[in-house]
Amino acid sequence: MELTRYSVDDFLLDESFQAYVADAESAAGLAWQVWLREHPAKQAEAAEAHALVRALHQARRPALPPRLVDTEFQRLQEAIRPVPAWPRLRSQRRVRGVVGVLSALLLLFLGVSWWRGQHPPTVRYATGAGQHRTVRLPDGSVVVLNANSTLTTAAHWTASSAREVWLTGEGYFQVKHLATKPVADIAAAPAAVKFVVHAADLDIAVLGTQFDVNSQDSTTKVVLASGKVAVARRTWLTRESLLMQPGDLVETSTARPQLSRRQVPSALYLAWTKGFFEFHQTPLRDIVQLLRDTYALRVSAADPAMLSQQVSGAVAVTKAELLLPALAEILDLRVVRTGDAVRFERAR
Amino acid sequence: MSLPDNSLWENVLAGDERAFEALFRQQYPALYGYGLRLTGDEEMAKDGIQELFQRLWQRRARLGQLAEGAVRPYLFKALRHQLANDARAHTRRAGWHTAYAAELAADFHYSPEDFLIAQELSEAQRVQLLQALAQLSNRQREAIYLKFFDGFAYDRIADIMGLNPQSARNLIYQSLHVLRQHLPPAVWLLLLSQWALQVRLFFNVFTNN
Repeated sequence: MELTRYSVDDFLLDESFQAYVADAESAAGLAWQVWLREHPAKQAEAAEAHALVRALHQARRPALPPRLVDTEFQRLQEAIRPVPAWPRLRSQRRVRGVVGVLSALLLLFLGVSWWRGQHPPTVRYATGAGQHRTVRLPDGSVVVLNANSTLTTAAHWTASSAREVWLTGEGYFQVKHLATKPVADIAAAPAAVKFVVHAADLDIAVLGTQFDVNSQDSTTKVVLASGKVAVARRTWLTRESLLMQPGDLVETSTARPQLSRRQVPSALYLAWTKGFFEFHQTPLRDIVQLLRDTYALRVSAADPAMLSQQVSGAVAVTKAELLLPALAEILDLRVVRTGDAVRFERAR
Repeated sequence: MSLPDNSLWENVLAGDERAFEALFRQQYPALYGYGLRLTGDEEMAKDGIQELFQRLWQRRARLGQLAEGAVRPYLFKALRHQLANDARAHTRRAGWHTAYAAELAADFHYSPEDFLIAQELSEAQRVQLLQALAQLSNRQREAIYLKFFDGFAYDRIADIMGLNPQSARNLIYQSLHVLRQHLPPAVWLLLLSQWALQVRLFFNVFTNN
């Protein structure tokens, strides 16, 4: 059909028009944008179609329960590779069976001794709800642990041992720089020179800088304030890595495991270590993103224009329960909170 | 992992276990989402996918090649079939009325609440959109979902749902028509204003060049 005779329904059903809504920068999208500019008479109908397709595109996949794919794959493997039934021992085989069991025990014993040799004793630092804790590591690095977090490291560090720690929860790392000469590839640097944080699927390697790692149930985020950080994600079959720049936030989650990177005002993400937020003409948009990222709140604004309102000044709290009313007062807005959903509305 | 889906498929048919795992991990989230929508039951969705992949592995020698982009539609169709069979078996075991079994198998539960609507919509507007979606039949909702969420072309949707391509198109046409009729003006205004913003941004870019 002639495009100039398209009705709203025709736009809706056209797969190239749907592609335009999905991605305005796609080939189809650019073609439609040019066409619509040349045919202003069709813009109203196209707008109606665009709006509906766009609303339908908002449908999202339900979040997968954490580790579901792993456990389901294990289940599948067990199903397709059934363990062979233990053969019934005949009397002449019994001796061989006993020898087998004994050698298995010996192997297990050797394995455990080897493992203990490979894995020297560890020390674990933990925080409870509402607690912060500053941990000084033997190499001079400092870690601030947020509430409900644990940090595990080797109990004894030597000048040649690997600098590595394991984190769950959130920690702010100030890593001491030990490299004596410039290192081109952080990930390939000697284990005693680089510092590696293991959190969920991620290996976060640095030489010496400040960064924040937040590893919650299903999502792990890294925010870099300055310097460089090499982030690698390793799973059974995949390995991907990227080099973070200052101001980057890198994220992985069970729903979207691939590393994704975006720019954030990093100072806001580190504010919890100081106990207060400092805003310098910070648009509400950035703060909304922060609330989504660090408090797992679903934040919305009644009017998109609100998101451009700016906040300046210091707010001496970092808890969402206190930050939200403070923001409302500064911006003269009303904050409605229902569970995890937060909504900014115009004050009456 | 950046292999096109059909070469992964080819490797699975050749008995490559790593490819089988990669295929499972690649397709699982979409299949789980679809299975959950069809059955409204996590365990049924998980079991259906398990059986689907078990059979796939056992019968790999007898399966044919697929074109690029055809793997997911193939798996969707197979899962739909699997879940319909499971639903029938389930009702038989439970001794339910046979008419209900047939209805359950033919007409999947397809909840409109599963459409998570844009955050920029207010709660009231979101509810209105959900109410409009609730006006659709299960089949209409399923088609809309396959089209706008999973992004399948009409012929793929037809294949998955066992329709001819023209019927799939008609089904989506009717669904969109129903939605348009049931959306209150307030929701339209909001959706339209966002479109206008996008167009304005584009024109600004255009005139700057």
